[in-house]
Amino acid sequence: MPGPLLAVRNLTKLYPARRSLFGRPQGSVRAVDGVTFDIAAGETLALVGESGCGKTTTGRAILRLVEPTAGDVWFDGMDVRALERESLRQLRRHLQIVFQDPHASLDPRMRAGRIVREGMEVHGIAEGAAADARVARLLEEVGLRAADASRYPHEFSGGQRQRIAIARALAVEPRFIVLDEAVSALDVTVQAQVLALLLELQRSRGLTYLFIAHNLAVVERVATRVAVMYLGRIVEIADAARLYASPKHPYTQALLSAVPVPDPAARRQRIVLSGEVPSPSAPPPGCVFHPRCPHPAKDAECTRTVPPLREVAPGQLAACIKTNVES
Amino acid sequence: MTAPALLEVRDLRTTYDRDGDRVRAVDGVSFDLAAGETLALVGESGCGKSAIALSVMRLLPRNGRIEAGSRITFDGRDLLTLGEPAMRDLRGRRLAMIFQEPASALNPMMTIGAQVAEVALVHGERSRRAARERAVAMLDRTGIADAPARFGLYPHELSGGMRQRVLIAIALLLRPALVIADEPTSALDVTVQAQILDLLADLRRDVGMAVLFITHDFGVVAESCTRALVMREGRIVEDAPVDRLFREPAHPYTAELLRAVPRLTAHR
Repeated sequence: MPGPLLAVRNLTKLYPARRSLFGRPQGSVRAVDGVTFDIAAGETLALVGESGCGKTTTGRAILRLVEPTAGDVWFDGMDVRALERESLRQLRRHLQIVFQDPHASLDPRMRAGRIVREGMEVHGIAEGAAADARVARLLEEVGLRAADASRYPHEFSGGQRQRIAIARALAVEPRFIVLDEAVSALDVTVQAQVLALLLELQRSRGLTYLFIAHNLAVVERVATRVAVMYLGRIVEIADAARLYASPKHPYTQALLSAVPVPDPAARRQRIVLSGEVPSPSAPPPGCVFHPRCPHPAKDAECTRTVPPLREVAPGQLAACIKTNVES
Repeated sequence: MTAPALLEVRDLRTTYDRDGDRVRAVDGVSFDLAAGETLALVGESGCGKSAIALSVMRLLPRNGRIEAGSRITFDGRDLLTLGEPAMRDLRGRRLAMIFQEPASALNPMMTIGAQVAEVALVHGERSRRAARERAVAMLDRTGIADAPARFGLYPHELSGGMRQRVLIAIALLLRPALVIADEPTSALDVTVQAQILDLLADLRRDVGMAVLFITHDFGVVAESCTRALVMREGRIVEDAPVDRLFREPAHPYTAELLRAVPRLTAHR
């Protein structure tokens, strides 16, 4: 069996917290705290969680858009953290990212064609008439028209702008794309179309995705596997079907139960968590979820023991010492 | 015989000036809202749902205009001929609004307690002490733990969910008859959204108010409302009780929206 395309081991990102009067940092914020996972070629791992859980920082640390503090990232056997500037630049050809807000990520003064073409030229993939032809093909591949190359970002709708951002990412023929809330800002009908496009591109080009999102219903449509993050850590990771059908970690259970169901006939038990996510600069001791945890077996041990991610069912890992292990 | 509606909107046309052109945001909308009812106004961005809210509140931006022939009646009073002082009196006391972005709806320079107490003071409460006490009680009621101690905090010292609770306290302090909630949970995380939706439902039962819920989220419609108006391009395309809307949408656009809504399938 081939190894994973992307392997992430104990990835950690600390930010210096508030500084004292004389500029000495007072402790640190653990934005990402020992995150470990693999992504196999052609699959989609979804990273879900609420704001501040570290999912976006994880995506950026993998691409070294922010420098990790510790841990390892391996892409196709290459040690990403050890790469020098020039090799990192070359690697970026294979690793691309699409952000949430195409309004902010597309240069308003550049025509769509120029935006898509830039990466091709930087990486010496094509230039001149050959590049023009590739831009035209890419725009059509993402559902725009070749003639759209001469238009500016503001002339497009939100969904169309996101298609341009996708074309830009595809222009360098990457193998792996981080989709950071890439459909979150779109209306539902447009969102469904862009999701369909992403799935089609994955199939036709054999792409691998890290799909970062907060909407669990959207994630269910695209994910092969799902990792749930809370306060910088992965609390549960499993095959998507398994995680949705039978979530094991109390946080995953609460998160799924809180999703409003578009069906007035559905009467179900919502687990409403009390309080809010604690500050990552002062995470609770033991299990970071314990102050809000509704698990009936919660006890003093939870406030002392940092729960390791362990297999609780085949292909399903949860970081909770109170979760029963299925045999 | 049915009781007269709390809010009656007839043939509402609202336009915005965009570079000299008048763009129709609301294009002939009519509906009634009964006392105590929870009505959803649902649609995608740009469909005109927020323009309806701002028209009813008479809080349209300067380039917005309600066209002649439109009628909005609230509590039996014609809102479109009401002078600004009378309108100001109505806002907060009988008619209130909760915005999507609590960060921009709150005054960053004023403590949260002062902002809640101000509503009472503006609407005739003479005693500062009494206003403060009412504000503390309301903050407590909206789930802000240790409200007396947090009274003196500034908005930036609170999380998004807490700020939304403060906005709700401001809106509900005087027990209005109608609250317009414009995407009140769209900027919040899903577990916090669940808390706020529960809180709004509780308070609605307490106060007996009607709620006009403006949202793009059919999950929120299903869980929080009894009737829904589906909007598209400034018009209402469907007006139906929520259970019928989901079971047998009458308009093809409603059906298309419902098909596109991402929903959990495997769970439970």
